[in-house]
Amino acid sequence: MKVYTGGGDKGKTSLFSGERVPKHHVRIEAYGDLDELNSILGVVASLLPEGEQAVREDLETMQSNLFLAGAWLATTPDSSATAYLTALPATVAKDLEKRIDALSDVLPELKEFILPGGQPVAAWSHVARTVCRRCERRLTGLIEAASGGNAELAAIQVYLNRLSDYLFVLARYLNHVLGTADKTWKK
Amino acid sequence: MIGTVPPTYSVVVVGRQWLNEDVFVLICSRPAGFSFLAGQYVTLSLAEGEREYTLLSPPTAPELRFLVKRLKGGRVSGALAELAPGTPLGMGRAMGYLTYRPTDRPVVFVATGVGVAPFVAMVAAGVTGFTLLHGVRTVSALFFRQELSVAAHRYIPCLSGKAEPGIALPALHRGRVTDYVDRTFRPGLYDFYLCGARAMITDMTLLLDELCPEARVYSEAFG
Repeated sequence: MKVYTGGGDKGKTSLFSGERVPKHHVRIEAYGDLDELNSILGVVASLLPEGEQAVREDLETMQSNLFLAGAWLATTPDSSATAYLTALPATVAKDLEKRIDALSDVLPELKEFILPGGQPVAAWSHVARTVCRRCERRLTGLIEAASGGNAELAAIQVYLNRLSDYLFVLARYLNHVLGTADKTWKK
Repeated sequence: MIGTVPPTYSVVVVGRQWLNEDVFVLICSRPAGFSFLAGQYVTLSLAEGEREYTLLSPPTAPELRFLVKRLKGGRVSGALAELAPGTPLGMGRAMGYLTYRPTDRPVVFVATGVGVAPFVAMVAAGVTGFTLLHGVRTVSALFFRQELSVAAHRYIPCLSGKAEPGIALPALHRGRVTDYVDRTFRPGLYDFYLCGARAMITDMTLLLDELCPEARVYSEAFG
């Protein structure tokens, strides 16, 4: 199967629901940002230290979930194409909360703002967090602009909100296991 | 991103029906647990390699039928053209999104060559009332013309090869499917379904962007 079609050479592309839209369309921007986040999660996974199998599995699950989410963002709500889409697993946000708690358990309590950075893998997790926040902002804009059919988008927004929390904790966790202390913000 | 899919099912060659000297219908057994939507494709695997083929059959069919073009030097299509009944093949799960989506809009199917396969499957599943443009070089490649023209609101064969003596088809268009759309369609709320050669998909998509920017366009390319 070839990757290129040429159908986008003049600046338009197709939504999953069939509409041809400019490549700067709000839905394309939204799922493009999810794609960017997904790619950065791949960078984080590639830099994980040995033995962090549970985190690796977390990241793979997130990458798969972001594919599901991207398909929803690429589809006009209430279109017949939604019949082909798969909802995020119902427990997806709760599952993330459990993992956030598990990672937090080994960390010193946070009392001040910290600077994003430290070990490269942790710094990339911070980058992922910020892109995740941008994804969330795009999504809330989509939800606000659409007239209906947003139940799944609302679920995705909750997931992204929790995911960015996870990525913040993951950055701290990775610095911690690699022996790098949090660097606090000096006013 | 699209990756490879390992065979999920094992099927057996049941038979073969030649439609012209290059194209045949491959008939295979239907494995237990296999489900699909009209218009989807699967990957068939054999010793010579693996290729994607669209199912001609409706979802309820007891056997699976595929439209196969024997390519010059094609290892897989050449092997499929020779396999004896009873030969096992690997088959992946059904894939693809070129499936009929009920709509109030006029529906236009556009195919070139064996790209007509998903529309044959949709018709077998009960879809009617569409316009179908089938672009081929010669009349012998207008596969399933009878079934398609009965189900269609308008069936437009588009012949791009040399004129064939004694051939008179209703609604025949001499030229490519893109020429036909360019000459006859006006802006409107259509649902277009495109299947066939990649060059046609590209040209038609760009044409529709200009001609019918409000149209929905679903497509599946090969080659």
